[in-house]
Amino acid sequence: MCDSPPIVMDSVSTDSNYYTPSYSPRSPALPPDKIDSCDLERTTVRWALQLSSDVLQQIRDGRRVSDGEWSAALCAADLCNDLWPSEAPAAGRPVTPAIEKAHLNTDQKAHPLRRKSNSRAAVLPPELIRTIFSYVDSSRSPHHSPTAAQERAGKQSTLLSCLLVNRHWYSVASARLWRNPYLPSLAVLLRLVFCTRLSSLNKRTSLGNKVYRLDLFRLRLREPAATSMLHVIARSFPELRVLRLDIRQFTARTINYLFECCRHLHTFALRGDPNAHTGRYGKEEDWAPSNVVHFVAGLGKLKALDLHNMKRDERTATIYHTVMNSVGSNLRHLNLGRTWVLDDVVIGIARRCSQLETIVLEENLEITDVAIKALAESCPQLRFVKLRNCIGIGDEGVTALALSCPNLEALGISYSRCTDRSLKVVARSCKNLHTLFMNDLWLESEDTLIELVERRGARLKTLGMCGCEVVSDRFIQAVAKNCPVLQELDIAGCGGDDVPQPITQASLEELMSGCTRLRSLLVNGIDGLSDEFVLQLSRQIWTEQFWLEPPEELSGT
Amino acid sequence: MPVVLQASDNQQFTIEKAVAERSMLLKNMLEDVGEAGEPIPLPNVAGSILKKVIEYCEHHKEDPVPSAEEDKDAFESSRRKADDIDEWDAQFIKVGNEELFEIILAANYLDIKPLLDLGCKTVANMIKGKTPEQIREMFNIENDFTPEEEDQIRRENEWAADA
Repeated sequence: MCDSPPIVMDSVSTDSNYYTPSYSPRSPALPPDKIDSCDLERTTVRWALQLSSDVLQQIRDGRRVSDGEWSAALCAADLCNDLWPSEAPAAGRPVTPAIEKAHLNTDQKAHPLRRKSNSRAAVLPPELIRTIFSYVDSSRSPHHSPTAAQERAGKQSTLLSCLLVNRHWYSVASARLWRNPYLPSLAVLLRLVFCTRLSSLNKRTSLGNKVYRLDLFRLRLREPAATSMLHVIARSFPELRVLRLDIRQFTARTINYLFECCRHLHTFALRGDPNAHTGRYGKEEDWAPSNVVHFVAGLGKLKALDLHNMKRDERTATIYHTVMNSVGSNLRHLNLGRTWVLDDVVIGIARRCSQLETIVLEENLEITDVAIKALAESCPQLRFVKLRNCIGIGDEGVTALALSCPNLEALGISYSRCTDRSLKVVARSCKNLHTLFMNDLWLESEDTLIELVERRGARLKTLGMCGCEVVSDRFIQAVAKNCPVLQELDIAGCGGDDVPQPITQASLEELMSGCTRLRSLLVNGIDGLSDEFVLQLSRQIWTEQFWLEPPEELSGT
Repeated sequence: MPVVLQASDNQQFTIEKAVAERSMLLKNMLEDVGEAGEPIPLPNVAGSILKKVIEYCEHHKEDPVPSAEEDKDAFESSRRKADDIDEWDAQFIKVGNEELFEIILAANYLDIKPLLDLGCKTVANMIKGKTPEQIREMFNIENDFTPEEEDQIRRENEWAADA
């Protein structure tokens, strides 16, 4: 830290006007506020140029340049160099050495420590401060609720305040703040990268090493910025454990580079449609294992992999082939929803990943019972299985799962071909089941459902079965009697004209008093319920749709 | 069989065993020592704070001990919540800031997890949305950063200010 840089010629510049104690949350050093992928390049270059030329102007005028201004200009120029190696010469090369030289000439003087305060709060043991911060960091609303984003931003700014309280608090708060940064926009990501640079310049150890989780799903990185940004991310955050990306085009080289820099990744999500601009993401053979050795090594270490929505076709077949042959027994959680993979990929992965606990295969129309039977056979640890809308899957596969996976806790077979036959086996075998989604199944008889709640009711917490025509009042009464810990029930559109005893309001009231933990109940579309009753219900209990959410391990939260 | 506790200022408190056993530290001690009846010295806790802690334990002596099964329950313990404090507890913890931290330290030392959580939640609620200056003032913490250090820290963490 310099308190008297060599270029001070202006006697007006004293320490007191160098340091401004009032906190302006948006200092001029930060990158611009609003950026999208398309003009990321232009705005960043312009911003870096501005900072650099300000500094140069100050030097020319003989005015004092503060330490912070030096660092900011240097970092901004460097960042530009990295984001656009060949395209930003004006902002990068000519400026950087000049600033760096001037910066290195500055004096490094240590400041005397101030007296320590006596307050208990000032010197609370770190583990207690950590506990306090864990409550600051706690979240009240579910992550998909509209207030969640606001809440996270608020928590982040509270942690920022804690960090500035004193040295003792700083050490605890900074680890917490940087661990899992909340990045609602590209501008904030760019600022995070910028601040990371700044810290490595100031300290020689980067705060970027504290970043363990980056979730860039909502940022939807797009070219021309995506590739260079990913390279910058890879270099800035080498300790990353969890990375979630949504990018439309990605090359084998970039993904390989990510895994080369971030060798500790255990949770990886890659979303996007690599085919949106065919050909631009490279050749098919780029993805051969010998060309992506770091990716291959990284896949072997992964605990969780999410490729939801990355369509498999002739262009991505090699990616899937590499994935299939590289994941290993570390893999616990896998999402291949909407990927259009075929049985061979599922079977291949099942054979290699015997420790699999979570698998999401929703909306893969061509997967059949053959793949599910292979899963059941090879992966007895499965706890969470989501097969929603897999119209090729039916009783045979689900029966095999129910018989071979004693830990099965959550099962989603909505809109599949399952019938009473497999449901009976689920009812009899899945002793740990607490969540079952079976919307729109074609069932012959209500007796299967009643047997299910009688046998599994003690543990059942979530039951989704909208559109189930065989449901009558008998079933509702059985739920009221057998499901003491039920929290969510979706019986929207249940029952029908052929049911002997239609669902009554009295039974639903009985259910509400029997299931004391019930917090969500969906009854819309049930014949015979008065509008008044439904309205009254919505005042007492949540009536919003709920889904089968994969376990948090899949997203690394 | 009553238990006698002796605070750092030699003040003595005689309490029921069930009350003392809310503290895991005392519970383990009592199991080891048996029923000697000697006062248990607590050199880290002042009398006034110990009195407060005992008041809490008295009120909660009937509470069930949370089972391991419940802890594992993903749905129940979904996330730590900062604002689900029961009414009596909220009244109980309305104390001066210095005393609040003394209670937290005592709860930590005596290993009374619910009380520790209550204290930490309360502090967390107090600092939510506050500026560093407000937090320092509230808890009487002196700013030990040099101006340059503080400036640097602000700059290095600025990304978080307007996320």
